[in-house]
Amino acid sequence: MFKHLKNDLILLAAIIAIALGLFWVEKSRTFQDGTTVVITLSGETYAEVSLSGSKKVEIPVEGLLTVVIDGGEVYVTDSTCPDGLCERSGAISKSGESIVCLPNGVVVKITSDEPEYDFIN
Amino acid sequence: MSKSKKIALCGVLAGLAFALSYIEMLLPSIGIVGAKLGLANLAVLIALYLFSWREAAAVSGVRIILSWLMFGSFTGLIYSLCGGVLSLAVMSILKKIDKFSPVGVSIAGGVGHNLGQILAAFALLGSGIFGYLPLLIIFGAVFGGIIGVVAAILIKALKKVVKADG
Repeated sequence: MFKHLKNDLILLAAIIAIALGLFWVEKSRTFQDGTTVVITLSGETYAEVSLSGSKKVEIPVEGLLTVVIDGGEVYVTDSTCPDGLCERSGAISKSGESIVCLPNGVVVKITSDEPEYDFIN
Repeated sequence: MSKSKKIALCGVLAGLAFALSYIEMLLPSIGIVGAKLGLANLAVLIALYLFSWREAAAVSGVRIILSWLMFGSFTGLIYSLCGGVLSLAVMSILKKIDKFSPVGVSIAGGVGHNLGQILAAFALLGSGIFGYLPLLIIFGAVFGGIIGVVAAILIKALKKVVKADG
């Protein structure tokens, strides 16, 4: 039944290696503190807010979704989506991190004004 | 096997796939967007190995449309379709080259499913979602592997039954 077990394991190892590589690429872009919160609604930019200070942004999706910016952190509250994963993903603070609410089509992403390091330096 | 018997079996598998996706909805989510066990892929894998990719596509398609009509939203349907199509394409090709057991095929299917969903999310939401890609690949591979082991056992047993039954 498992006559190709070796090939299966090679496939699994290759996939995990690729994922870890992608993880590393993603991480190496996200070590700096972010400065701006970009909120997109269905792929279009809805608001850009500075990460400093504290404020609330209410997004008019079906029902409501509130993005809270406080003390250099961003998190989502009061989402009316069925699974509530956006609320449960907690607070983000680093550039490149994001919170996604698939049912509502909302992406909250932190970006940085400083130029991103590329791989050559 | 007679055509009517095949149709009946495909119907059973589609019903099974639908029930499995309902059970999966009842399970608690592990808290990452798009990371799912993929229980319904069991029925699709069985259809793929007992019959061919056409029957597997029928089972998967019926499952997706039924889930959409019963519980889903239209955006949910788009994610499911993209995941389902890419997953089945990858699994059919890997089965065809005959270098992997159902476990490997299922691993690739799980990853393909998550990649398809990410691509749909990219088209709908922009590039913000790519941060999730590495995690989703790993979860797709691990959950796909678990489902694949169960599927391998079931396929072996079912092949005997189907053969004995004519």
